[in-house]
Amino acid sequence: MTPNRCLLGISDATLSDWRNDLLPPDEAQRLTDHLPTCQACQAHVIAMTRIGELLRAQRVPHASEVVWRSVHDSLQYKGRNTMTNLQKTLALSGLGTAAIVVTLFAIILVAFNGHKPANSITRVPTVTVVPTATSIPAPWQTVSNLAYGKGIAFGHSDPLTGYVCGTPEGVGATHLRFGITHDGGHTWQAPIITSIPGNDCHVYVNPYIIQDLVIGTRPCWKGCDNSDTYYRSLDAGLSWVPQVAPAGNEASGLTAFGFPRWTPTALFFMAELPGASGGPLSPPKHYIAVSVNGGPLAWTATNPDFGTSIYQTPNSANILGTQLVVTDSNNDALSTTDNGQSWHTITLADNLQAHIVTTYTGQTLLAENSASSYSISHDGGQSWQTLPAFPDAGSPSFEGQAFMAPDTTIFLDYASGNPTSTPTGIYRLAPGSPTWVWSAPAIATGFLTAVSWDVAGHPRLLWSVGSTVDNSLPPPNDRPAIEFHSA
Amino acid sequence: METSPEFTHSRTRWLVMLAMLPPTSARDDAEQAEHAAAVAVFEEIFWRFERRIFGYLWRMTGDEQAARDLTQETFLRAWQHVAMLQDRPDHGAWLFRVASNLALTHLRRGHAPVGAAQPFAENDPASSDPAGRFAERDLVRQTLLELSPQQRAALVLHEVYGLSCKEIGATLGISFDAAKMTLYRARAQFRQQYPREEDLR
Repeated sequence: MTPNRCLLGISDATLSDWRNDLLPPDEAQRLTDHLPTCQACQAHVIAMTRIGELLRAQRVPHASEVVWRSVHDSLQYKGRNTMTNLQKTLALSGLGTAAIVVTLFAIILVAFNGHKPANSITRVPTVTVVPTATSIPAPWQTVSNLAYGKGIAFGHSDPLTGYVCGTPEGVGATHLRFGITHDGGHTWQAPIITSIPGNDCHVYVNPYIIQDLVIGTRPCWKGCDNSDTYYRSLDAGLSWVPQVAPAGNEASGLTAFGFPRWTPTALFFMAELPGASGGPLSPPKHYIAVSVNGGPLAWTATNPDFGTSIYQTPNSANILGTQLVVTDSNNDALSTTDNGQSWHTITLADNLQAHIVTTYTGQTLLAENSASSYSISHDGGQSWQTLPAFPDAGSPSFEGQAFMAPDTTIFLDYASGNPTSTPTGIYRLAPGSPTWVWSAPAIATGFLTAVSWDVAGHPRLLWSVGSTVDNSLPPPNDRPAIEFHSA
Repeated sequence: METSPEFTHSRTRWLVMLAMLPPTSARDDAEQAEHAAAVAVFEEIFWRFERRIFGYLWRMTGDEQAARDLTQETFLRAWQHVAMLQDRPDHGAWLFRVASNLALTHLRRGHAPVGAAQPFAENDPASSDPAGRFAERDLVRQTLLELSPQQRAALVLHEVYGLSCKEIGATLGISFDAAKMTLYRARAQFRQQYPREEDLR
């Protein structure tokens, strides 16, 4: 019988990296040498291979002829401006007629809705978690001067202050723009063009000092070689100073970068460093570095024990809270409250997967388990309480992680489900509530990215960062979009 | 390049169709040359990638009609930006990015993938198909559609079309780490959901 786990502790994730050619050559070779001796690893590699074979063996229908015809037919009028004046006149007449019909229909529809029974509405889910809404849910709204937004963050010490970074287009804008709100996101100041090269970014806010910010740039398509570099501003974005990452600027795959709450000046950096894929087959590496000097970053190594305690590439690191929580591919979670000098293991409930979210208080943790329900801990992970199951736990398609407001209201972006039983949209679980409640339409152009709240910690607005429909094209046609919706 | 009679026939039809494209009488020679070059580029792109893009979208949606529509839309956008495409070599990456965004938008707008919600029945073809081939393909399709759209995209892009994690990240607009993790989770989910364990040994 094939053992379930490798005796050396090599995880499925490491084997997945090996198959993806993502391991350093020396470790890949050691793993290659190890495979013939380990039935568990062999079984997993064979399964991965078979999955690929099964997918490639699928018989795809033939549709070329139909596609050709439809493309051709569309090209005849969409591709070029070739209509005669008569055609244009007829088309405009048709459009005018259509517009009148649509307008009349809309008027009738509005009037009809106005006389509908309260529980007879369109587009409202029919499952038990749906609120008894009395009107068609409001759509997501845009902010006109945020059309450059790629990253968004709100301050914890001042929840009405938020920041946005980005560029309006992937190519052509050589430097990031930066904007500020002081009223919780209702109005945003005109963006300033920063000194930071790039066209995609994250922004992080010091939870204690609202003017203390970090921008991390992300890979971009074209015209930008400034990926995975970091800039800090101590004056709310007026000036930016480039920072030196722990391994020079060789780090890739930025996972997290932020400010732990136990000291206002420390920053954590977490990334995959060259040769840092970890595993018992290679020496311990430092995945996380800490800067505690508060000024220009001078990185100090984390406790070397960290490298052996959590030898797999961490899945996530969550920094907001009185502790830093790191999870790995073996579903283990470790936390530190002393800038990485010591780590302790958090005991997770059964079947928990590596997905931890810390909250504003730091003692409240949220963990996703394998059945796509959630467990919550209010004591830093010492005890866990299972939250009400999400209605479509059998076929989960969540986009990104859960978001939690300081009052522990939780939001999930449920992207694709069965429209007749569990409609897509944003679901909300209020503190103490027994059910998830559908609270906002699905986001057509992006993902749930942030939740902002009022001074009492109650959620106010949901924020989505993505792209407009036109952004089905890559840059230079890239058009970011930030939308918001009432929480 | 291997060319089947069907392909040649269809290719001829396509060239005829292209010849029917907008009248050229009003254009000067330079415009005509530019148009001809654009048509040539578009034609090459279409024939090189149409099967791949359609196959990808079919796997993403599980629906032939939706895959056709999205494939059409993908190539319409290619035509609209053919001038830009002429200057870049990565046509495949561009098309997969467009197709991915169209598919994800399509699914996020509430178009559930066809077959995704169908449970594996007791009289599943797996037990009635002696050769097992049809059943296996159907099981693969259903299992694939059980994954989240992003997981499905990552798995198909990697296993079927050979994209690296970096390329998957660029295609789906996610980080390298996220692409790696999505692919890992997609494999794990597929292995967990696929009902015939013996096929994976």
